[in-house]
Amino acid sequence: MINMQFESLRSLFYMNGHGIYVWVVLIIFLMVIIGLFLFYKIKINNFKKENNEIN
Amino acid sequence: MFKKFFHQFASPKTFYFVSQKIFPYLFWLSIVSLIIGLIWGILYAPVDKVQGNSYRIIYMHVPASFAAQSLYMMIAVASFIFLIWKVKLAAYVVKSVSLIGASVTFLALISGSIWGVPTWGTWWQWDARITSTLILFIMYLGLISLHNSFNNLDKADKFISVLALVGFINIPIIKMSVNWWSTLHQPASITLSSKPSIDLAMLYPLMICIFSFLGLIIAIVLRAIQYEILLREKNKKWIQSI
Repeated sequence: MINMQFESLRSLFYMNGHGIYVWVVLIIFLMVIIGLFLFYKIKINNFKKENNEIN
Repeated sequence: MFKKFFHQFASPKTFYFVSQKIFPYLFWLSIVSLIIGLIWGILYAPVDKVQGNSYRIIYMHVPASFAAQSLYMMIAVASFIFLIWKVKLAAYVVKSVSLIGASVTFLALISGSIWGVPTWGTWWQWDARITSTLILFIMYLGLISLHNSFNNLDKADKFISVLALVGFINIPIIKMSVNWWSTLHQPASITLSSKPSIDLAMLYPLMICIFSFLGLIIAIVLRAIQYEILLREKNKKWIQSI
């Protein structure tokens, strides 16, 4: 059976003193994914824009 | 028939349009399953008896480590194909995957380092697994800088392919480091040959996170290869009409 492991939002953030490590890693994890995705999206869009201007 | 199929797919033009079709499905499926895996792992998986809640970093650290090594294997295979059969798409793969591989390896190192503080009481330890992963990160950076140091792209492709194949020796070392040496890093919890040493309630969300993160990274790799194709083939008619 799957149960929620935290009784309140406070205990979810705190995680018995380990919350800071878990949340920092999650933020870095999401930043890397979003950063990589946006990097190539912007590069491709810029290329297409320049390509359209030239042609 | 198979030969014809692979030859067609090795054409940058075909790859560009096929990957364009695959990308949204792979990307959104991976995003949705990664969100499910992370919510399950961080909110619903049981607390570890020894490590407490800090073990929840596993749902980000292990997918990143797995992807870091898988991407290098992809680079090694592409390098081999490029050096033997001179398939130029393979050279684009090697170049494109390097930056993504470096980012994912950085993520594995930094998440492991943060996890080390509550678990081992230290940010860094020169143990075999961590050091060999740092070498992998340096290898990725080496591939990127070596390619950027050449003006002649054909020469750059050849040199990074050779370097990538030489660096492949590090992958089995990373994998086996926890068995060959006495390390602070724990041995693998999931192996193909034995029962997992991790509880199923923790394992299921971990498997979802590993495969969905890998799917997401492959989707981003497709985008990176598309960008490389656009840059290298910009004088071709089909690109000018995009």
